[in-house]
Amino acid sequence: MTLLARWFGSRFAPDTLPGRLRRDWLAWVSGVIILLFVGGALFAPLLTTRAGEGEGEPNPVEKLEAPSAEHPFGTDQLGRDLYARVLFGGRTALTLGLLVVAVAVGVGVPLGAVAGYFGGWVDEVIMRLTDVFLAFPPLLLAIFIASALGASLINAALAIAFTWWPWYTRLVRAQVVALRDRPFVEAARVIGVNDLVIIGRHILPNTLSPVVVQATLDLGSAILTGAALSFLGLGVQPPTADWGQMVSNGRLYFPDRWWYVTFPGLAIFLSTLAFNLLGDSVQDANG
Amino acid sequence: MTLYILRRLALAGLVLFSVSALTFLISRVVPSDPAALFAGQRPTAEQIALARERLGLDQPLVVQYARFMGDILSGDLGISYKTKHAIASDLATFLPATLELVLVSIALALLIGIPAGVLAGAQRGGWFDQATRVLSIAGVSIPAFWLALILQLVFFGAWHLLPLSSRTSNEAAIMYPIQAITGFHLVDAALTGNWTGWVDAALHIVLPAFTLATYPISLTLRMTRAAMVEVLGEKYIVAARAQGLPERDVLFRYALKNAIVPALNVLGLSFAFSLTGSFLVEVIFSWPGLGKYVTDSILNADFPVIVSVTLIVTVFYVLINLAVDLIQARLDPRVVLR
Repeated sequence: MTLLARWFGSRFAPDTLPGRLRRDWLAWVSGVIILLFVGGALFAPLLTTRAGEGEGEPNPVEKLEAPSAEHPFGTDQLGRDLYARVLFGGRTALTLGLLVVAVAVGVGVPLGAVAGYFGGWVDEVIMRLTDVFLAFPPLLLAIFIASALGASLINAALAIAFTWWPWYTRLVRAQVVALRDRPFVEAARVIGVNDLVIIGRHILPNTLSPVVVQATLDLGSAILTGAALSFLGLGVQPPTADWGQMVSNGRLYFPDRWWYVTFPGLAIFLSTLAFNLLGDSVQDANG
Repeated sequence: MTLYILRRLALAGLVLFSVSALTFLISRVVPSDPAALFAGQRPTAEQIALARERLGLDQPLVVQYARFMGDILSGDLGISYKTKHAIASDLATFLPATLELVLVSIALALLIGIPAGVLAGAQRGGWFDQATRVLSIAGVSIPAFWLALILQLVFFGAWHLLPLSSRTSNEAAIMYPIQAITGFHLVDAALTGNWTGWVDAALHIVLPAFTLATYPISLTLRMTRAAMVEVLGEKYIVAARAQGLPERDVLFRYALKNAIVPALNVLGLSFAFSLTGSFLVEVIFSWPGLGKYVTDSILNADFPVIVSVTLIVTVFYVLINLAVDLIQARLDPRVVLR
């Protein structure tokens, strides 16, 4: 049996989480879109002959041209090839997504571990803090922080991460509470291992896989939120390509130059959709 | 029950206090120079000095916070640099348009999301379930500002079915002006019997309300479906079916009653998403509401407006969630025990 047939062969897929995922055609579709999206971002300069325009060089002789064989997605108001811009915009989107998730995990996970391990007033303080952050509508808080910090890619990512860490704190806390009285943790405590070492070496590694799964799936929402911020002018600044910013600029030439808003918006939609579909399949296979 | 209500009220009070403190802290501590940020776009040295004076930045933070809260509680939210009006009066002008849009979109979410969720849950794994699964995931993945443009392209550009933007058409505004009573066009026009104006306003609200509703519809649909799947496994449903009750009654009268309580959970979240989604949608439909006010303020670096709107909208959101919790406790006594 060929490898491909083995992966597709639903009857042979074992009844485990990856096995059940393999039988879900939607999981396949979303996986392929995610691979295309990540590959497009990584190899952007190799996938277009107009990498310079993708990075922002203007090309004044070909302004606002409709899609054609030469420019599959048309061109923008500075004559740049929109296909190249969308490819390079994928780099911005992916960078932002990874930054958001990294910061949110970096802040949320240690706080959740400390809250779950120590309990008592430490737990109470940290969890009430998450309550306060979750009391804000998420996009609103991100807009507020991004405008306080000033518009840039890193600030947009920080602003979004600031509204997201509580979810990781809650996730990890629940895991740690379930682990903290297990025999291997008590054994470590009895022989006098430092609490922080117990958390870092013995407990956190056991909570890692749900966190990694959650973080990967959250990339989609991070991209969508980032696009909203840059649509409002709070994201990366020109000439760097960014999908949200492209839709915002294209609006000025809408609806005559329909292609300008259509393709960057489609990129936001499809990449977010792929991560969310995969997330739903994972949930389905889990439950 | 009384104890639960009191506890829930106290918690809401605590959250409101913390929300105001956090808003204050972010506005004063996060920016590198708060006075310059509060002084508007390209401020002169004089304007910065004035802002520093007004904010009391040389005072300890506690004193600044007391001042901040004092101003807000007396209804003084500062002045917008763009409109040159008091922010409080600007909000009063813009809020009704946004609330009308948000309420219509939440009504859409409930009217479409709940029945569709019931049907999807009833034939779990069937084609309707599969289709609504993909559609609702698409609904939470689509950028609202882009969906708005695509809908304009289709319904105005290609089919000429619906108006492009704004709350009323120019002709209707002149011939059949809607008298402002509540600020909600649909209500005001109906109250004064101005049916031509009502139809005009209704046609204008369709696209923005539907755009805003995509997220809440999807959320409500999924929650209702999940709750229905759980409830339909219960023995009393089997009993109802065994008695030969029509399937429609089983689903919508017996099962939905128990499924609707968890589904209501998303109401608060939907409200938050519609309100902040309006920031992205109103600018595209030139809807003269809070969202357009905020987006203009972001473009003009009108920071005092952003601070005030963040605080006011969040207070709204906290109160909505409080109301949802209390309604749930009323509908389902088990909530109190948790």
